[in-house]
Amino acid sequence: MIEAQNLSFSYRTGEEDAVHALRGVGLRLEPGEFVALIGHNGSGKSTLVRLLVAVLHPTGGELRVDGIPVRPGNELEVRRRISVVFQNPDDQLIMNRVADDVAFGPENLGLEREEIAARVGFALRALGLEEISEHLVEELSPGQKQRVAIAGALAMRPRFLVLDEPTSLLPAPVARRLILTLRELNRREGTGVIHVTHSMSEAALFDRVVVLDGGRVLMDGSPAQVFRRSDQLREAGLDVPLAVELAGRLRARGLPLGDGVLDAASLREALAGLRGSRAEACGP
Amino acid sequence: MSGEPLIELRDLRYTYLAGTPKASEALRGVSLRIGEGERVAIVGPTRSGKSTLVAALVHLLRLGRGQVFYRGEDIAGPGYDRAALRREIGVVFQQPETQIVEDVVGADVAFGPTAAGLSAEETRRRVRESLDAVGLPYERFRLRYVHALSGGQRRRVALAGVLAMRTPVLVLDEPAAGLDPRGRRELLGLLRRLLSGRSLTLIVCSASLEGAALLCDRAVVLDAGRVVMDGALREVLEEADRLAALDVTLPEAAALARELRPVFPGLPAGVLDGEELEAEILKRLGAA
Repeated sequence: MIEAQNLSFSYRTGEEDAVHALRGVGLRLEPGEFVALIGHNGSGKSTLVRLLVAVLHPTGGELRVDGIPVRPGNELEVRRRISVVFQNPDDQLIMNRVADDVAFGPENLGLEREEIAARVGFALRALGLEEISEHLVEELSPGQKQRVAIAGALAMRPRFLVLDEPTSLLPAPVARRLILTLRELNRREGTGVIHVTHSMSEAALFDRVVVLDGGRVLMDGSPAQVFRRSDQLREAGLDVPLAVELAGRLRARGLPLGDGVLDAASLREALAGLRGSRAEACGP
Repeated sequence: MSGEPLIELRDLRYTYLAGTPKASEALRGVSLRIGEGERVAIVGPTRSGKSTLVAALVHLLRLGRGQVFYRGEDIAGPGYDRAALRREIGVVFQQPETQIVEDVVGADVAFGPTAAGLSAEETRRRVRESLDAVGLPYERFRLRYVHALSGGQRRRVALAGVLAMRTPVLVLDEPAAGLDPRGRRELLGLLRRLLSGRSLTLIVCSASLEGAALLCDRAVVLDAGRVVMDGALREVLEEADRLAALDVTLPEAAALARELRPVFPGLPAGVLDGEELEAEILKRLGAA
């Protein structure tokens, strides 16, 4: 479990030009949650990610991972539970061959050979990389590279995977497939996923959406609950998915669409229902 | 297009690491004509050949086969003035942060004009004009350190550096990749304003039609080193299924239209924004 209580962080604390990146964040993530963390640049997302993997330490309040406080001296204990994947896989991939790269972390934990092989096999399968496990990393597409980076993080068998904008450099269809793979992993293995993104249409694929703005939690709820507050989202510099916006516009024109529209699929359903009832009303 | 095209690519072919076991064919016979003042999006998935095409266009690589003509002249021909070509075609590469060469904003934008031998006075005029045009006001930004700017601002500095050369052709390779929605909106808005007042010929390369759709009216789709579609932007968008199969990111309205087609057969995917899509849906509901 991840617990943040009144969590604050300032860069250059105490100095005149201190930057208060997080200003009292309260957050509780249960094991196995599938969460999107969104906010525009400067909202505090990346600072929160760095705190979660103990690259930074809180300057105020508290952050605990499975009860272990994030503070100097606890870094390794924290990172044993949380693995992070960054935006650009090229920053994170080290070895030449896919399987070797995935094995890099477990090898450095000093695990037995069989255990390493088992973890690598598991991670490669989970990300759909078995067929290219012998390929050279440099020959892969950006989407494949990102999968290798995630497999490497997963091979550490963390409680939570923290993905810091892993899709921002990928085409939308590739990003979507990657998230569906993570969903599958989350369901089957119970690995918690915290996915940092700018994209609301990606956020719609998660169980829970946490919106950061100005270093605070602006919203925290299901995608439906969050998307309902579209005006506030726009004020925070975020887009509402077009399907949600369009449903709102059609409702404003008097079409009874309900407020369950989150994405293209639910809009399609709502429109199909509407169309069916109209056809009935008109008769043959 | 009437008369001679500004740019003509004739059967471009290029293989990386040719003759080695790692040889990979990036371009397999690309032919394309681009007229003066056209705004063309060149889209395709990763490794479809987009960036290789850009490199070929400005003669950064020697083609295996094929020719590039600029104003009717073969740019690889003997005696062709390729330094002059650099003053004709300006390229803002992917992650243009990497094409910034100076520490200070003003000095970086001045680099091109100075190297081209322009006077100090003319250089200053162009630096001012370009920085103002990209929304980094000259007075406030010329002495700022590049490393202290945000990613979006750095991208604008690189753009200003290319604009300062006042080339008649501008090539943008993935101009908005990696920016957040606000940064992307700002950059695309800025580019639109920039374009509206000029007769620039524009080429935008991207794996996404999202931003390109706002800037271009023609789309050329590459796949595995070949041109697979070429036409007016809206016509190309109509083939939304084919584009999606190529992993090309569609503009949000077109992507949504595609997903709504099972309910509204024939719903056009060549829509550029939510309002157009809304109108199409209302039309169909009214008819039901």
